[in-house]
Amino acid sequence: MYSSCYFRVLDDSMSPSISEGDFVILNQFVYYYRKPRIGDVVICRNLKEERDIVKRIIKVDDENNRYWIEGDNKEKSIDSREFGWIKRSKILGKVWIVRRKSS
Amino acid sequence: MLYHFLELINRMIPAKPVYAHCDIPCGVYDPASADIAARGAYAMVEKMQPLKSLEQVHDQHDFVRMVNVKEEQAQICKQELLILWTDYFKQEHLDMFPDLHEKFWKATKQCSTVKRSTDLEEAQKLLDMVSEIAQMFRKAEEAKKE
Repeated sequence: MYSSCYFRVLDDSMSPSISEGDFVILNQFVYYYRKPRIGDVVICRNLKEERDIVKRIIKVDDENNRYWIEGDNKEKSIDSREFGWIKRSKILGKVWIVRRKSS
Repeated sequence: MLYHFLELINRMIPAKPVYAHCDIPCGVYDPASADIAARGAYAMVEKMQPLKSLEQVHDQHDFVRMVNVKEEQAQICKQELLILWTDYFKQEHLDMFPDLHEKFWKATKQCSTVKRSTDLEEAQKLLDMVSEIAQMFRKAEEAKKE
């Protein structure tokens, strides 16, 4: 069980879906009863295990239990296009996005 | 409503940061993010100056909003500085900038000072410190091209 359940997003590599300053709430339980799917926005542990990153699942490899993730802001996002497929164990959960209202 | 509720919770139990930008390292660094955040904090402190009497409810309301944004921007500045310090600058940069660690340590401390303060001078100090770090970054980038 991951210790944190809510996060604040830094940077805008997931814009326009998620902007800097938005909150995301981690749902760790959904993947107990189903597998991650294409389109899910998830939080992953990065390769150096020092930061959590938020990306969208673009492709699924069921045979090897691995996932291809990308940011919605393709120009700014560093994702599977750079570091390749990620293992299921790196996915912490699916997120609910809580957007800041424009003031 | 939920966003504001989470903001309130965030003040007591800070949310863990999650990055839409990864830490591979990806080689994409820019002190502009820290600079923009420092300018945002300065702008809030500047706007707060005429409101310090807080006689009107409207002024009290605006003051609270400005404090929130100042807090947020100073924290973003601190995080951006920490990214540059821990991920961008390497051992070889210590030869170029012997006081690199001290500059970053003081700048991140100054972010905390700006959070606690309504003093415009403290906000200006942060801007100056971030500017010095940006200069180090530019020199380091130029050295890479040589």
